[in-house]
Amino acid sequence: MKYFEFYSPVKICSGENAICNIKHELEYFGASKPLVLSDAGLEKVGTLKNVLKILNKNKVDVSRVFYNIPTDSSTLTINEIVKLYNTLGADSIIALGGGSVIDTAKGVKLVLSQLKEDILSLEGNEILPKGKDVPFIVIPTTCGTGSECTSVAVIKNNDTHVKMEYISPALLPNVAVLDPEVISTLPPKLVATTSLDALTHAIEAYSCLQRNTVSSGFAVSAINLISENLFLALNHPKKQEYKLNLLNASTLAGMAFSNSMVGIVHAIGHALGAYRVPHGNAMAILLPHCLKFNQNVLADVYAEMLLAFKGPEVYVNTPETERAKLFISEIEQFVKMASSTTGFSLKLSEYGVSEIDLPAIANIAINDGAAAINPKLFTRENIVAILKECM
Amino acid sequence: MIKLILNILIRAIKTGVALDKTLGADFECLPNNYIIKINVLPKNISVCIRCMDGKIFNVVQEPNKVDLLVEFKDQKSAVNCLLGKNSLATAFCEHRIKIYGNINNAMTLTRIVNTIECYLYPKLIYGKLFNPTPKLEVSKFKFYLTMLFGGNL
Ligand SMILES: [Fe+2]
Repeated sequence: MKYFEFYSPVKICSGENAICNIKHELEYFGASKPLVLSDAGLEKVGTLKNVLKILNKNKVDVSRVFYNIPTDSSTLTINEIVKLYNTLGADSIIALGGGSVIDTAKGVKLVLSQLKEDILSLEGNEILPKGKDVPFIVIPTTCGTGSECTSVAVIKNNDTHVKMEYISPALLPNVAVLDPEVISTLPPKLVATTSLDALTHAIEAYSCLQRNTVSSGFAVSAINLISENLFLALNHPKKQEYKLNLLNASTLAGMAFSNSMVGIVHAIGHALGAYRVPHGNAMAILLPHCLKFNQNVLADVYAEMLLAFKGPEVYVNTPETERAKLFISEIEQFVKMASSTTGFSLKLSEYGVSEIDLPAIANIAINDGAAAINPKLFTRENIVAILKECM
Repeated sequence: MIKLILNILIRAIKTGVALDKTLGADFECLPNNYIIKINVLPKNISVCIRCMDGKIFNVVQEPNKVDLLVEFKDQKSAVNCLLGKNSLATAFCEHRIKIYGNINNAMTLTRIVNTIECYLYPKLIYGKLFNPTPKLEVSKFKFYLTMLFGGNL
């Protein structure tokens, strides 16, 4: 690339008791009446209650809470929350959750900052001005989306049932609060699949057409952290430091791919989302197959990533021509081990996808925003072939 | 000059969609009665087309509503892209263009333009842009003949 842009203005508050600092972050923005957004799952397992308790203890007004955000962030929910925000006289947003909560909150922030009422009127890529300041704090509850640091949101159109991609710096939160406390109860299966999502973000950010020297630095750190900490976190669930490292990795990978985008794994993975395959699981299933597909174009890049993934000793002891191959096989082993340790399937057929669905999935994937950024051009036939390997 | 290049591009897209089955199938992904505008800043030099019933029609008068607007931020980037020095995907990666409207449909357009560039330019040029290069279903000779003398496509 002859020119690149890198923009990542999100303040990161990372570590033990990070949530306790939210009061001060709100004060910096002159805000005191946040609308807390979350989902029913987090309410049910008690995470929302715990966070509200901590916020309350630290004198944050938590009287405005909305936790009916559906699994897929949607235009209707966003427009409903915008109304609620105005009715309740809120002056800021705190989002507690995974991808759908954060994407919904981004949509709400976008509509409020542009002084609009309907998210549908704002569809596009990098077209909106900064708009009005709406202080926006995100507390991620998985180790995967990295959405707290990305300028992308995927939002379902309730009229057409199509997932729309919004890309704009105006979506970015002001503060990301990475507190290991909120992921202490995350089931091992989700620790694994969301971390593999983050690993995919980092690998695709490092290898896609839009890769640049700054985003690559973040991607390499993320790959290294995930490689070193995933199994430590799974084998020592009580030790917070490993999960915190995964949270940090997820944010780093988010900063990387927000500025360099992703590729074929996400293009197909987004399409599988329409067939109810959870995003992290889709990433785990697809990643090794897509690495093999891209290998002839990206051998040099994969060879470089071996250093981040396996460390200098393995790297120098591997002949130059074998590094890319070893990187792919190490990733394959890593994914298989995560799958067998935590008990999730690596076969699409076990998620309800059948051979008959594959052409339709390929048709969605080829039109995904990430498709054009993959360094190797691909066709519907290539996608079907990859999906068949995953059945 | 930019207006001329844009008009050639539109004529080439019309030709490609009419002759190449894969391009035709890609084109079918776009909604019916869908208006696409390509605009080059700062002088607002543009072309506008309507996609209807599998065919492309030029829109001469400024329409009330454009469904997809692809806007080059400057003339040099537009020329680089339209003359095959850069792909549309690279222009997107380098933040040279803004997209107003549905990004999935913009991806469909990107894929169509990729193949069209391969029809328009010699392999020496497009071979550097794509890996692998898109499959061309008809000969370049037939493509050029239809583009130049194919009448109202
Ligand atoms: Fe992802």
